[in-house]
Amino acid sequence: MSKVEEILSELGYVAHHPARMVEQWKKETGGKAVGIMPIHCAEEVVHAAGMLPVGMWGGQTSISLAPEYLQSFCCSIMKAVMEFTMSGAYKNLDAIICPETCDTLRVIPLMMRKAIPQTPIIGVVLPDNRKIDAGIKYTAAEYRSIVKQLEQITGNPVKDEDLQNSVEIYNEHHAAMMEFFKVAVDHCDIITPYNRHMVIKSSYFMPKEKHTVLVKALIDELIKLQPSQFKGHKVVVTGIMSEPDELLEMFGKYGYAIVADDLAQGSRQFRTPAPADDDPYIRLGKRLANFEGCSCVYDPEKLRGKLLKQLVDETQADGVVVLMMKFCDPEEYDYPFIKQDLEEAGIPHLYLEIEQQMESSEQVQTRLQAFAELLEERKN
Amino acid sequence: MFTMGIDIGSTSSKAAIMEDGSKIVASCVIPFGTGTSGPQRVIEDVLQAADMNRDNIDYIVATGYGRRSIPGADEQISEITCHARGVHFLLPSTRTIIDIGGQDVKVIRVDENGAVMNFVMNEKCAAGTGRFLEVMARVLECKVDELSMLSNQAKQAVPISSTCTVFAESEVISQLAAGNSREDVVAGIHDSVARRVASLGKRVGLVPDVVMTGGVAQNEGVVKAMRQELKTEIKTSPLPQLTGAIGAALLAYQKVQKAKQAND
Ligand code: SF4
Repeated sequence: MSKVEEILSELGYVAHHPARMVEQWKKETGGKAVGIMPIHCAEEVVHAAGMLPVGMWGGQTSISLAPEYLQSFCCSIMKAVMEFTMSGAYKNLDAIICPETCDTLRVIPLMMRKAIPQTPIIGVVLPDNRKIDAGIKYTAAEYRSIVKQLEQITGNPVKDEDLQNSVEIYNEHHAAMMEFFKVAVDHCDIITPYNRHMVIKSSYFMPKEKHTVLVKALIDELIKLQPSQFKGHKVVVTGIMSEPDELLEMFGKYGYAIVADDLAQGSRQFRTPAPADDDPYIRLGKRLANFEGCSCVYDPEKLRGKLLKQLVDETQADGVVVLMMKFCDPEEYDYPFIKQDLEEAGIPHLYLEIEQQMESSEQVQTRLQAFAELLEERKN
Repeated sequence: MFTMGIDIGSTSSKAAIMEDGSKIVASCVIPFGTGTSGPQRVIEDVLQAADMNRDNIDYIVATGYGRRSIPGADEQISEITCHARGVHFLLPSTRTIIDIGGQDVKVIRVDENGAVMNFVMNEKCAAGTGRFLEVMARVLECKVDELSMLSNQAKQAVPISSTCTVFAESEVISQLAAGNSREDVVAGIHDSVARRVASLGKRVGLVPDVVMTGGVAQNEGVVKAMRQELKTEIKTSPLPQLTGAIGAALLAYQKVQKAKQAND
């Protein structure tokens, strides 16, 4: 096995075994683990409290318990999260942080408190007016409040320098991820859509400093290789996430490479660094203020379409695939704007409705195949 | 040179044999789709109609829902690309195709060469599809191909507001129970299909000429309702069920030509 394969297989293992990773971490450190729900809650606060932040982005499960709380028109991610909550899959989490991201997530903390009363559920509301001074201070105050609650769980105070240190560690990790995405464009044969996702997903279940080391090692190894002569279709994907695995395998099957992403689970987490400030909480507030292009943060200028165009230009992509999470209203509301921007820019795009639990893949296959044929025809 | 296109849908199997990518030598439609004897039979029948055997065919392209399970096909291409090519062959001025099949609805925008520019398909739902009409025909105790004639005799369409097939079924039953005529209810059903498909069409933008294909295009009542809903002229393909198979045969020809050029 080459070094690249070794790293990818390690990251793949982590991505597929979140519960084992939490268990292992607890055993090794004696520390506690905190689940963090999507989309924009700074993990740094959990890290600074000496706990393991664990991304809670649903997963593969059949849904049978969740309908007790969630209607059929809720997104599949939250259905999976509630299913896991009720089936006891999160029993190893010592607390769960729920940001009020959308209408569905707004009610999740209440349901969780009822379903698992023993686990502290920490709600957080991030501001729409995130750019004004008061908004930045408000974000900072929300994070301070989370830290207070985490301190009660661990019994240890979190000093400002602890958080400063965590912010630095995360800035380094995020920069490494962005660097990896860039380098991966020249190695589409190795960094397949599936492998690319494994690199992203694994970051949610291991300490970031460790993940950074692996990602940097991966970059070093990739740089040593000859760039590949990729003949397939280079696309930028946008949406909440690119799961399940079968979907990514289909991307591979029809000759796609993902050369950049604008996914809530992917680049949106990594692309905006926390700027310098003496107050680490303000740093997190400013990061949210500087962040652009997500359906789940207020953006009156609707910059996402322009950002996608920029990504297409930078990576010389052939088109964009909009991965529309079924029943995700924030993403649905954004679509008409990005559609218009892409059409005006002459960038072909595919609207692909996905669910985290895919019952049948036929419809998705036909669309992906037809879009690949469309892109091929444009090249001729 | 002879090429064959096979289009295996959810409810029917279609095949066409073409000569030099320009002439339809034989074609065949069998009302059984993927997972039945339909695919095998349609191949046998079309070969028989052309008085040929498999060895006379240079290249076979399979398309449609069942395209991946056709033994003997040289290649499979999505039905989107095949429909576009087939309709372009039959009606070159087409820029928008509305295809309503047994289980899905597609709206495809094509350029002047018949290449796909954009497309949308319905999601996992029977609303607006041939299946929807089948369910309604059962409730109304008539055959699917009688629907068109019935709606032609309607005095005033009874609005059917549910898009969901299951709810629409009970809505139709209660409209009949309330004393509305079958004719008026059928007209309402056609309007409902048209509304559903039109909303999909508006996503890609409807540029004339707009052409309807697929089995449902044979129902003049739906076509009329679509014209009203979209406020635009809608043509129907002369061989509505065969466009996919014809497109596949044309693409098969193109493949062989390309391979030849590459070899020369
Ligand atoms: S996928 Fe969309 S609807 Fe679901 S939790 Fe995330 S933002 Fe909310």
